[in-house]
Amino acid sequence: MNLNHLWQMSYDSKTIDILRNSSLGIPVIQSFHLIGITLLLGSMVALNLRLLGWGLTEIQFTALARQAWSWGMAGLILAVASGFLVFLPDPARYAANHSFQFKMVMLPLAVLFQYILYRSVIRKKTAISEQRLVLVPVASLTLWFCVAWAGRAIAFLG
Amino acid sequence: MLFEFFHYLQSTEFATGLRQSDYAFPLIEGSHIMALSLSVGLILLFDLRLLRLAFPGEPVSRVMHQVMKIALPGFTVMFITGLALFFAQPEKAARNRYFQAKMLTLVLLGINALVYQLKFYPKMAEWDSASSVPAGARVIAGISLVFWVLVIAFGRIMAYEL
Amino acid sequence: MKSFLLLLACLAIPVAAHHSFAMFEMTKDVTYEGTVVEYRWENPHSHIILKIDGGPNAGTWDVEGGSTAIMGRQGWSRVTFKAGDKATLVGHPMRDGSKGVSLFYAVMPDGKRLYHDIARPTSEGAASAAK
Repeated sequence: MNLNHLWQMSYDSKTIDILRNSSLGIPVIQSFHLIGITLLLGSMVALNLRLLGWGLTEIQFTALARQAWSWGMAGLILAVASGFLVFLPDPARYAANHSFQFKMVMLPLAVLFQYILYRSVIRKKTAISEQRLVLVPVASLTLWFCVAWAGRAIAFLG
Repeated sequence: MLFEFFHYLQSTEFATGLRQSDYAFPLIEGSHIMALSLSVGLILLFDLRLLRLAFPGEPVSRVMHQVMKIALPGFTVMFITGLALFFAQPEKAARNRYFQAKMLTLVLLGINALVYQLKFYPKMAEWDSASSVPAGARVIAGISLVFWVLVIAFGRIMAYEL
Repeated sequence: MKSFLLLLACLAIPVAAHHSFAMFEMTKDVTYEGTVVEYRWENPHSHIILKIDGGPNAGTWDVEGGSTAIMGRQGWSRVTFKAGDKATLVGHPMRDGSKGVSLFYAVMPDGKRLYHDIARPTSEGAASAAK
């Protein structure tokens, strides 16, 4: 599937040119991308470790779940918005990168799983508060860190 | 003179080996970035509690101790991977303005944390469940938030200086 | 206390360095022909230090490539170049005029192009992806 005509729109665009040519623009946006990821992954780590019976074990579970969800999703929104702005100035290069393609497949999977996970886990935990879950938190962490590592691999593996 | 030492370090077999390995540098750098979530990501949650933007119903001292369970090993990983990254190209890093700014900001963060430890930590339990956190502690939390964002930014922008 | 710390933070922001941001003019392709002074096959970026005698581009240039894994897949290796080799490199120069280049491809003695990464030129000249 050749999307070169789509990507060419970005290379021709004067607005995107401003971003592309500014010395501060892209590195700063990438920094926001990292900050969003830190917030997202930090929240996912806190929540999932708790489900495994580790880490923030003395914090009230529904409070932890709610905070991890709110701040995690705030981080996700920041990461996606900034990610879009990282992609836009050089779409052809990213689209051809296998790690990027993998990341774009894993990301919606991770988000979907998190959405399903959150609801079922909240229901389960309020009913059986001491139960330790294993498969669900492990799957969630695996998905999220797959996305993160794929992002890193863009520059190193191609 | 310090730069001459870094130049020597950069030419050692160890440093060269780190740089030339297909996987060592990417794995170490990737781990450095992933561990951000285990360290800074957790500290952010504590700072947000001090600003009453997260966990408003939980005692401050409990949030702090719980967060530290993950953040302390997290920062250990950050330190070890950071050191390894530095040793891969010590001269280049040391000469980089953004690396210098990052190190300075980390020192300031250390001072910030020290101030909290000395001034607010001893009395922390007193305002555990109070409706407001002392102004000084809130300032420290605010500085922490801003400075960690700066550290992450400097770390990223470093790569854009040849 | 707060203002003191904020002031220190402002001082941490560096004044314009000799190399400010390593931003390259990605739409400009310039050919550099010279002698390899140093060939550094390493991470995070490989570097070819190129010396050009005479002409508008005279001087010593730092041509920056990609990671060893990415360049390796394009046919590069630890021994593609060595000091003393003649080299023809095409790349994107730095915006601020300093002697830094982002490598696009090298033209080898047999005419073959060794690309830095997967991007290839379109007929219009803008970089796009290989199929």
